[in-house]
Amino acid sequence: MGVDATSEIVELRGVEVVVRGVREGARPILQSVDFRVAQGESVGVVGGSGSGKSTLLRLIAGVVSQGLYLQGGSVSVFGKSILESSAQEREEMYGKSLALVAQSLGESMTPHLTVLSHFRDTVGSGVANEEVLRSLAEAGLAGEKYLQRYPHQLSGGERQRVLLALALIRSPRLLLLDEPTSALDVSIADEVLKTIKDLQTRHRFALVCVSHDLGVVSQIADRLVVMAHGQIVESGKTAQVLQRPGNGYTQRLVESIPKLDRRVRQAQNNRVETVLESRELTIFRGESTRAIDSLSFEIRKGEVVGIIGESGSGKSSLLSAICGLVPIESGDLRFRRDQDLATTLKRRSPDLLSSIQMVFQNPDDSLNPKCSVARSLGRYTNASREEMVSVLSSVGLDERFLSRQPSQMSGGEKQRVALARALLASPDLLLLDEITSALDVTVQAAVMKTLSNLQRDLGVAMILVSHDIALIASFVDKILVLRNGQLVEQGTSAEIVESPRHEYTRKLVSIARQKSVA
Amino acid sequence: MLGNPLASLRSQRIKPLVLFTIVFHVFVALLAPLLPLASTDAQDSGSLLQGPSLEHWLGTDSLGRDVFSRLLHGGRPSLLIAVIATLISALTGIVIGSLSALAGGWLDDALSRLIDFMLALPTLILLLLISSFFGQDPVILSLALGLMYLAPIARVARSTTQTLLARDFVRVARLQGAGNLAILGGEVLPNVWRVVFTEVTMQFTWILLAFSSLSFLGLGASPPTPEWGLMIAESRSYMTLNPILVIAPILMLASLVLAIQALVDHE
Repeated sequence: MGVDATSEIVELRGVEVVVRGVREGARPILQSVDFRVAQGESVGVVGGSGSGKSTLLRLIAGVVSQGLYLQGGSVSVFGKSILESSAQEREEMYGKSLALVAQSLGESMTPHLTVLSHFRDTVGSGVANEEVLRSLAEAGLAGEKYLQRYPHQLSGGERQRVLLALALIRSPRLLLLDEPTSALDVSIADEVLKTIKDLQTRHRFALVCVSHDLGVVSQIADRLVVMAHGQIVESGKTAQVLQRPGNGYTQRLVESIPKLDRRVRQAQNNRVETVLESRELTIFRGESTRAIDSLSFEIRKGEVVGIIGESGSGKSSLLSAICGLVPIESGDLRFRRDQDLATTLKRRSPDLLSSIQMVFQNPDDSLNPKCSVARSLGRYTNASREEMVSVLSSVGLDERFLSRQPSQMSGGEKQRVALARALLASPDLLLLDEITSALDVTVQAAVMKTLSNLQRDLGVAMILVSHDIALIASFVDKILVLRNGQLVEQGTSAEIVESPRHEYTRKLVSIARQKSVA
Repeated sequence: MLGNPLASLRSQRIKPLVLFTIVFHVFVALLAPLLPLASTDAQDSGSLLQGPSLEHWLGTDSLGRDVFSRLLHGGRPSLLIAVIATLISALTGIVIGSLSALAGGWLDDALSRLIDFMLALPTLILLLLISSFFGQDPVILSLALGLMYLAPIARVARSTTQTLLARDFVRVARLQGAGNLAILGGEVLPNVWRVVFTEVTMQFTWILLAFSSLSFLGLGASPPTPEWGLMIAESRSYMTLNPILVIAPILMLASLVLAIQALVDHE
């Protein structure tokens, strides 16, 4: 695929990276990693958290993360051993032949500098405005208006494009991307990825893109490298890896990605009894912004409803209002027909409180760091040990977890405990706010499987909020699509996936389809 | 693992010294009365302002009292008062700060202004006033010191509580029907303590210094009690004759304060 297939511009051989000061025999961060990138080639590196993918990317940029050191092997970039090069040589290299776009959009730009100043700082004060404009236009930001904007005046997608333009203005031969879209909404991420692919085809720079999301890297990479536990477990042409994964881990990874048309739970649409009813519901965010604007919907007993929407769509505000954390501005919100939810938390009866439970997005935040699992589960529910053990086993954890502290558990395990705690209250309605978005894809698949079993056994109604339409469509009975606080479309899973009516839904569905085909 | 590697190297080297200093002070303060030391009050009129000798290891003061013995006893009054005062300021500070954040609204505003007001007070001058009105009563002094040094603790407790209240595990507790008191006891305080501990330890050293300063000014410990601040004050006229009289208590006080602060810094 490269311009000259023999000219390797990145070559890692037998690289071993270990944690400094850890005893012999501990698992290395990177283990006998051989990695090559040819000129003009685009390589995607995919793996879960702790797979070593970010360490690998930093190594190519000549940085060994603090606390780690290179125990063996060699890292050569443009034929030079980059880790041994002098500060001056690196200065030469950065920007001109090698550019890195880091993951955190917010921290990659200086708040008090305009876009133009960023370019002047990077390229030198002599840079011509025309050159900056051309570079910005290539990255998809046409128009002079962007030059004088400050970072806070740019949206997430625009910021990512400015960073791309900054990285590419000096025509580097190698571009390194770390999770280029993890901070962006689905539809914007898709556009940014198209721009990256387009720029790469046009300028033929080599590209290394690291992501946890197989869908993201497969969109822009010719070749895929799959990493797990510090090792490269599979490498090959993108289509080949996706269609015929040779390694067990890759197979699981590919299978774990939610697909629009492969359900993990059977849909049921035959319920009658209403659990939650919303009429013309309006919720404010702050003084006057409408987070939710005259929303009407209904949830039946035992029904699973998915809410899909991007950041700012009001999906989290809606969940917070249902469970009473946020007041309702106007409209009607009723639970089991007779209970008005327009009351603050303090006025709700204990019975009503325990009937509606919520599980939050961030597993690190949802358990008190000072409490053991047993204490977290039992403090307000007064559950007996037997009850706790039984609810833990229903979320796939055993008795030993009762004495664990949050610091001793993985993200997936913490999220399971949070789910168990919500179940102990025997809720009729379970609100799940992006509960798997902080988890690896394989862990996400396992949690969704657990959730599916729970729903089947307990028949509890659920509202599942996510930005991932495939995840929602594969699990729920009914989908609500929210945009800017308004309901743009609702229907059964099958209706939404097969014949989306609203333009926005069609876009989401088509992006999800592309990803699953890629 | 994170941070400047040089800093951690330094702390690694310094840590044994810091720990030794603190253990030494605690040991001496607790056991001084049991050690085979000369009496702190016995006046040897035959040997005034003597230099170090086998009989008096650090010499004698202007009244012929054994400096070594007085030095080892001299931390006891300030440490006792500082411990009591710090307990008072930690308890009231944490309760006021956390309640303020938890209550919100006008109560939060009122308490916050009160804390600002207390931070603006000139501590030492106020202590002098209290001490001259109520006398050198250790109970009143501990109480006054404790109340005077609670403001910084309350402030840290309030901001920590505010951060905690926005976290998901507190929201979950609310959803499961926990009231404000249960949240304060079960979710907030165990996590606040961890953060506030540093501030409390720093306040302890300030209180220690404040009481010694009071004694130096003649309004803390009263003669003939052996107390470092008082010892410095009593001997400063003889500083040129026998410098140990002033240097020794200063070293004791400074080593204790520095060691505590160094320990908290590296926690």
